[in-house]
Amino acid sequence: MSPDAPAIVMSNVHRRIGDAAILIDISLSVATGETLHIVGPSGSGKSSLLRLLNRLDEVSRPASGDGPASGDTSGDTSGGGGITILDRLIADWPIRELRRSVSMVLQEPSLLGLTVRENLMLPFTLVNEKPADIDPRVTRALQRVGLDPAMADRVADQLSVGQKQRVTLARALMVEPRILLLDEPTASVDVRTAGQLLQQIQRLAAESHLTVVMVTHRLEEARKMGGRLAVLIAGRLEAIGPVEQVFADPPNETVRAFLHGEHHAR
Amino acid sequence: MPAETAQTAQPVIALGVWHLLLLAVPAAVVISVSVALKLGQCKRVSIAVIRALVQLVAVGLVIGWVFMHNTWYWIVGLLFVMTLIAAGTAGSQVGKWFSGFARASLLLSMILAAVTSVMLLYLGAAVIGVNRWDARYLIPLGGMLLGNAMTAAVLAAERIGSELRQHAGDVEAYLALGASPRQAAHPFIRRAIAAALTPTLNAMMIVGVVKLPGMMTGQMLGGSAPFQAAMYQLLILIGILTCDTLAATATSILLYRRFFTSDWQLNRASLRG
Repeated sequence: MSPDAPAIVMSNVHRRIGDAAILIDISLSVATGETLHIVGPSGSGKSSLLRLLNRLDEVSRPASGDGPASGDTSGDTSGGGGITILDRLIADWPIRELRRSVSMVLQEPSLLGLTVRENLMLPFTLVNEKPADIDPRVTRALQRVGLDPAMADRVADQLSVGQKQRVTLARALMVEPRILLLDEPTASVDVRTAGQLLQQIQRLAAESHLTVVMVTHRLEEARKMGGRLAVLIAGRLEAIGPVEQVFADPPNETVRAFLHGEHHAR
Repeated sequence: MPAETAQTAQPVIALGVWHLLLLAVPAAVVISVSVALKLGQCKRVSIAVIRALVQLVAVGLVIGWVFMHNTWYWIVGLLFVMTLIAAGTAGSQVGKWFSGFARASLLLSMILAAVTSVMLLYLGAAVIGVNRWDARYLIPLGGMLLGNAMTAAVLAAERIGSELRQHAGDVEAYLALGASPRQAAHPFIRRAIAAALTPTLNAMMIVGVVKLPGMMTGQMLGGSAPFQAAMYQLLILIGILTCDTLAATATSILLYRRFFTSDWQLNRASLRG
């Protein structure tokens, strides 16, 4: 692939659950090394969009008047839309390889009753790999997200929410992914911790030329971090562009009302 | 009643209609207490007593018929019908996890038939050394194995469905790290099998200490020496434990896959139950 090919391309992507349209005709692309923030009212499809990108969910056919209403067509551009990840149709990726290249941090930290070290090693134990340099790796991973390496042998469920979120982030980065998906990583932590966490994410992304797609509900965070902003409203992509540009010049009233109304509400 | 009691001192005293009438006295006491204290249990108690009476009379007659003929086809036929009833009962309880009663019952009947028949043959032919088709051994042992295997299969199915539903977030966290469905479901398969084994393991922990088990009691009533009755109880407990384990494992393994798609996604629709 060419060095400046986009990391993610979505073209005319739909997602339906039963009769409900969750995402409608989404087209966007994310450049390699870029950070894209996804914002929108709750229930607008932000998490659903993220979940398509490492194939936790499947793209659906659009609900056309005559054709069959649903069915899984990921990567099948004949019927519906498609997703291309790192120059390869998403359906052409072996699923494990995809999920190790496109790492995802879910909204609720899920540490599975294991110790911090076991959590960090999980991406390796799942494929029966045992890297020789386990201890230095664990230490480095914890330092990268601002945690004390002495924490490695604690049971992760006993940590504070902020610490758990960092362990989850460190775990997602263990396999050196190319793309990082974050679903409201700061949803359950206080503003100060959130700020630190975002700084770390920003630094990590810059260090390893990581492409980041991040769902957030705090608009100021997106403004602080910079990058691009996508506004989803009721399953439709209403705006996308550099963060400040979208804020300064919203393409329509709905987006303006959301961006500025939301601002007052918080 | 045929006196098949070669090694016993004397045959058990036979119960007839007169005895049943005497049993109506304590049953009436139960109903009187319920009426006097307004416990509202009259209907339930009456139905339970009548059902127990009808079912036991019927089963006594049917099994009596099979004992009298004592041929392989009557024995296999009765065990087959018992398997179908067990699978139907189980299927009606866990059908929601298998997308339907028919599917659940079919799968469960195959699991129960396989597990029970292998164990019954082993206990009967290899351990006890019964060298011909003998209803006296095969029907009671088969019935006990079957009933327990059914309970274990139901517990395992119920548990794996509810565990995966309750821990969908953890399952998806595993999947997102590149885990296969088997890897993602493994902690919950373990819990399901543990839950299925708990009743039998608990029974084994207290057997003979806190309560005398049914089969041993029955054998002693029938005239067996207590030590022999105890040895038979051990035999059936090991048999039940094995059947429970095999039935719960087979059920879990056949069931968990249904909650995932072939692309390693959690199938949320199947988890609604």
